[in-house]
Amino acid sequence: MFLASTGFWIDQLVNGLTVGSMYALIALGYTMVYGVLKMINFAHGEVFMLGSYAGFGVLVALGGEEISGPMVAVAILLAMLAAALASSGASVVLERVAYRPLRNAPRLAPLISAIGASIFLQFLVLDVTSAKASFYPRLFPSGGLEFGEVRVTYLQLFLLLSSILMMLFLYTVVQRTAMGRAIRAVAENRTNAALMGVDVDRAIVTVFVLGAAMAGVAGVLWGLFFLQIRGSMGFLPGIKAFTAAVLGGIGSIPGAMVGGYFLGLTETIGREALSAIPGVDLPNEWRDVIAFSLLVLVLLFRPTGIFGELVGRRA
Amino acid sequence: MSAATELIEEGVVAVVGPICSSSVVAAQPEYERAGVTHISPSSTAVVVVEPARGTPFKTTLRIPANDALQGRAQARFAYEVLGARTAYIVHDTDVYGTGLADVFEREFKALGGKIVGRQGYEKRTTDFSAVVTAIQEANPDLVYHSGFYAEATPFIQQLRRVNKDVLFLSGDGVRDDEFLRGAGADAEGAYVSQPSPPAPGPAYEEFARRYQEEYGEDPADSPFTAEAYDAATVIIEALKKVARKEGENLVIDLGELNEAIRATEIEGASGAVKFGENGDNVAKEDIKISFYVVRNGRFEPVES
Repeated sequence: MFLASTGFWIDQLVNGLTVGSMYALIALGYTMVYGVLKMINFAHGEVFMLGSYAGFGVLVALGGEEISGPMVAVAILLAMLAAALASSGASVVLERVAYRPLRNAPRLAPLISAIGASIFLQFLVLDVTSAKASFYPRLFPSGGLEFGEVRVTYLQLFLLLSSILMMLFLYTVVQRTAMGRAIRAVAENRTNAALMGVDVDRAIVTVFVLGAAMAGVAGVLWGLFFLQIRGSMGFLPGIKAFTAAVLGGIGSIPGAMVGGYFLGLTETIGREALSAIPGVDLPNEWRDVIAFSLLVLVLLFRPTGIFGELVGRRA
Repeated sequence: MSAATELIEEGVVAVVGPICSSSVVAAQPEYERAGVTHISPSSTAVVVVEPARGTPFKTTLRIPANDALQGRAQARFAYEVLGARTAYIVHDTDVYGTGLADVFEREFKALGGKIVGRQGYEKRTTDFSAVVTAIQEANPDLVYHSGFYAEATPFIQQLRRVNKDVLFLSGDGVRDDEFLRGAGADAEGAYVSQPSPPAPGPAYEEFARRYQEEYGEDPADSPFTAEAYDAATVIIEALKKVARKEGENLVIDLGELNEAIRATEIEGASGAVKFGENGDNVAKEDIKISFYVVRNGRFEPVES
């Protein structure tokens, strides 16, 4: 067993935070919808995928790999905007068509409807693209910042910063605006909120829009980082982000953020850390086993997740 | 699995496929029960002809060479031609990737090389950052990859972000246009092997001409095109022998067809085809493994 250098661990830390920040952005959509509707929106991974494709379309329309100089920043911003709009649009349609008619049905009905919508969207895109991958243009210079033996690429830095900004924005909207207050009221008690004059439908649609916008931006970040997108790309990150939301405490916004980072870190560092124990050598295939074992452990001791509170409070 | 069931229910008498070894392993009991012979144009894993149940499946046949041959040739190529002394193995955890990695590891060590690390990944993995960081730490001469282009593409892109110099060697699962298109400049300099001769005889030229006519592209740009053509040819030849008309009906006995296919020998586009007892194509046993290097967005043959 080799003894890894400090640089190695910090590199892995950055890797974990990078992928974790994307999980966190996606997890926000799961947790907010659960907060107001007590429903798991399993099509959220596909909302993320659609955003990634919308951003891809904008980048290609603007010239793909030919984009250079300050236009790169403009192009990426436009791609994120388009992704947020496309994802939000898709999410609003989903809510209207697949979930709202079932709002007062038994809880399993909207869940099944969500799974159906997820499969429908995934295979729709797979069919349209003949199941082939599309490739994001490489817009970031390959360099990075060096701190001693640690290197953070510009792309990683950009990912970390933009996801944090997005989350701050969301947090402010939910905590500091009238619409945010309406959302929190609906999360706490839908009937009472309606009686107090809160427009419940509007609050719920806003939740779908906000969550989807986060996922759409995450889709662009994902494409910029991993370069390869395809119709089935939403499935795994969707499941992971859902896990992150549960880990953080489903319904809690800070929980989803912390859960996302936590999952990203355990995925990348968990195996390495255990393998550093003399006599233990776990293959990479174990990374999910370790991440999900940790999930079970956390939930054993804190069944409501790390932040066991809701956007409002659990009924 | 569901594809196999669907085909069997459709009344298909023989199948060209499945593509990858995991699918063959999943589908072979189903086909065996139905008595439907299937010839894989591309499955190469050892386990396909040496299944867990012991006796090989009577209905499972394949055109390409067993992985054991490719893994051995790759280890020799890495050690002798590329001069690598240390290697890091990254493989798909399916039967193809694991099988190939096992053979490579054994043979590379036998030559005197050192394996400085080994990691597996699940299909559809996109995040290889942890693997890449571990490779950086181990600092090998060569990164050996066994798996498919869908994962090789993000892997090599993330690898090249931090390491431009390390040698990269992979197998036939990566020799695909999608890999070139997806990885772009990051694919340059990557080596891949393929167990099929680069310029087979006249049968290949005839096939290549007709393929070009039909699809408008060079069959060498995609893997296993000639093998699939040969698999279909064998089935058609056998059908000519056993299919008979009874009144209005066309009658094909699946058992007879299986025997006829197993007995058919052809000089195909991908080389000779002759099935052995276990379903392997015994004509491939002394085949040359070809190596390619990516230059200017194309796979160029390496003379070794």
